[in-house]
Amino acid sequence: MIRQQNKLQYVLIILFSILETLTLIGAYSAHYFTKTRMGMLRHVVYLNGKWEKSFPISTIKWIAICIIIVLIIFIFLDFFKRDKRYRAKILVMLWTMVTNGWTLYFLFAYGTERNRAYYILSICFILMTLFQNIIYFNSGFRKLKY
Amino acid sequence: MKKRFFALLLVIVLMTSVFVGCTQQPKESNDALVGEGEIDKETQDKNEQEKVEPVDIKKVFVSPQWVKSVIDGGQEESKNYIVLEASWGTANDSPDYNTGHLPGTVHVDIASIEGEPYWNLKSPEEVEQAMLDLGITKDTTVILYGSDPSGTARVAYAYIWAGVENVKILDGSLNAWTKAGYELETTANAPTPATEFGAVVPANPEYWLSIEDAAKKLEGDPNFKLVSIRSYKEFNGETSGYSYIDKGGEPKGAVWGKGGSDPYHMEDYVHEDGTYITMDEMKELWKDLDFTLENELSFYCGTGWRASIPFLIMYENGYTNMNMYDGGWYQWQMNDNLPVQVGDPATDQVKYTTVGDLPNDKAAK
Repeated sequence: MIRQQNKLQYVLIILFSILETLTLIGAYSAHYFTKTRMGMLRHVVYLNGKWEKSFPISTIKWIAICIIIVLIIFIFLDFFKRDKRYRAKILVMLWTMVTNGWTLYFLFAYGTERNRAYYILSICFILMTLFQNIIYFNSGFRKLKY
Repeated sequence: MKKRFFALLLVIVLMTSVFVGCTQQPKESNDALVGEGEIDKETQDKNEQEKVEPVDIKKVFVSPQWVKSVIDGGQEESKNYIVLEASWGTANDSPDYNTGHLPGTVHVDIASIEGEPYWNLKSPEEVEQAMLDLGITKDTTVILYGSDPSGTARVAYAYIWAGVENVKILDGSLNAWTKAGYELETTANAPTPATEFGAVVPANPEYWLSIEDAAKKLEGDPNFKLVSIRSYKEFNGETSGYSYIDKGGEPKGAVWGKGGSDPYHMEDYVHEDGTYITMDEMKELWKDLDFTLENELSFYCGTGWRASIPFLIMYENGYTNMNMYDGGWYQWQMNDNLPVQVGDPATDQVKYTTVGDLPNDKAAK
């Protein structure tokens, strides 16, 4: 039973790692092409305007920031409170902190003025953070070898 | 241990790729001249023997022979000139700057003269600074070429508006140059900035029309013609022509001035070899259209690139009754209350409405 659970967790971790890598590649591509292709820049600027009209961007941003702060605190406390046998590996915890921290920093420090693809990049980074947190919480309850 | 090392390596690679993407700088090429071996010696000798006649200060479209004679010091303009390769983005993003350009050429980013929110010309201060950064003053002869005939014309128009007195475009661009047998170089050239432009920018504000003035003149000036330099599909509202414009149509009262098959092809104004049409050819192109050369003509397109071409052709032929409505369809369709036409007014299949009532499904796929 435990072995089957471990197998499922292993598959989930691989799957979310791939998804996380894809969001990073997506973020890099969006950033690169917005800087180097006029059509992409204009399309991104157009999307920015459209989304600002359609969605409460500021509210969504602050909700995301609050969730990430809560996650950072929770993961930090969870990791050190948990019995060593049931902890995630320290590298997983560190990478989760890095992704959460980077997304938090990006959401805070950047904006469409500084980076035209800010909204698209924010979506990518939030997804990346989400996937990494899923990986962390999946690997935290069993002693996994991966 | 191995797995831990691999995980650490992956983290470093991913972080590095993100940070490198954020801080990438253009790199310079330092290669020597290219194409020398490919030059047709006979053509080159012939060109060298020919004495190239000077051209009028207002002439815009010039031959490769004339440009070569400027570079070789054989023209009055040779004393103070700059050759610019115009394309959007940095020199590294240019489709052909690094693979070979005219000797001494400096890259100019088209974004240096236009910008958000409407992709109109930037403020006079910004355009002036962009020119000074390239070492351009009102007396500098600016010779432009680029892979996009509309983009090149856009920069030429901006410099004329700003006050540069002698603006040229290499007719036929790089193809014409290499066809004439002249060499290219790949060395990246840096401009020497200037400190004083020598005139108040813009020196020719009358060449630029605001959206407010365009709307006012359309309503109350029968001699005013707002000329759409767009494809027929854009003109009759079938498509906006752009992925980032949802609405299709034209300002109410606009007339069609032809253009090409889409926003990126200007077959009506540019020959197959990349040379621009002449005034006579343009008169022929316009002969059955709903405006004449006696009207006050204001050209526009999507965001001001294509419309620059007829403007420059008229400019070099001494006309003064033309300008450019810079905002184009992009700015017009952002104002819900402005009147629009959907369909060709020359036929009876035209509908008049306002921007706010237009459907949002006309973006180019």
